[in-house]
Amino acid sequence: MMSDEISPKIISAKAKFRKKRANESFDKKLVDLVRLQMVNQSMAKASGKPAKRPWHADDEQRMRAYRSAKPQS
Amino acid sequence: MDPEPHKHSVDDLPVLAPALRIINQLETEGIIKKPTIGGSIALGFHGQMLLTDDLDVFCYFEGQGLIQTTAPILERLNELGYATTELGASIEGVEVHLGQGHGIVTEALEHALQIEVEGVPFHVFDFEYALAVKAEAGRSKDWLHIASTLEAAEPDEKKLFAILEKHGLLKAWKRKLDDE
Repeated sequence: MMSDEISPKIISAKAKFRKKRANESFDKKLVDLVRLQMVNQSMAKASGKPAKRPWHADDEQRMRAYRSAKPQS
Repeated sequence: MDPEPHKHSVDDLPVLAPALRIINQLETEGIIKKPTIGGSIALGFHGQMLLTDDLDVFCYFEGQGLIQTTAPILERLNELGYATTELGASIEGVEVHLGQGHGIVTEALEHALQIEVEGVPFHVFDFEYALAVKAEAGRSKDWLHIASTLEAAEPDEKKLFAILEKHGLLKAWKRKLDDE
């Protein structure tokens, strides 16, 4: 019963969020992509699967900066 | 540990710009013409960014129409010191795949948009062609990325359907996406 009331709200909020993300600058989206690649690699490693390296993986300073930066909203 | 660790903000660290400058250099040298971003990164330009491992770049081969072989490009990239594979090269930390073209890609290149990425001038497929070229690739991953992109951004449906119809992709599009 409750989920019937909440679910459309969640769906609508998710759709709104996706559209907001779509309207962000391309430069910001690229940073988000590298973060996504880093998360993907961590998840793959944790589950023992072969992991693709994120872009710029050899640039340690950059990787540190990505890891220490606060997540972007 | 660095003796003097330099604090970088992620905003000071361009993701694609160094690689795009090298690709633009190939154009200046006359090896390629109109390098253009396609694939999932082009979908990310128009919609939400989705996980992908490579940057697809399509281009003309100077003086000979659409590229038939990537060999001269890979050879030059090798000379510049970049590790190459059959599909492309690792350029300034980014896996770049060079897309070889045919009908729909030629059209997509003709209609590509001029953009600036982290201060570097480049081209990207327009939204409808980016979707159509992805549909033509037709792997499960491609359809998944198309569906996710359509949740975040709306293409010009009339224009998109005309492109899909022209290239015999409309039935597959409707079968894959309309039933969901």
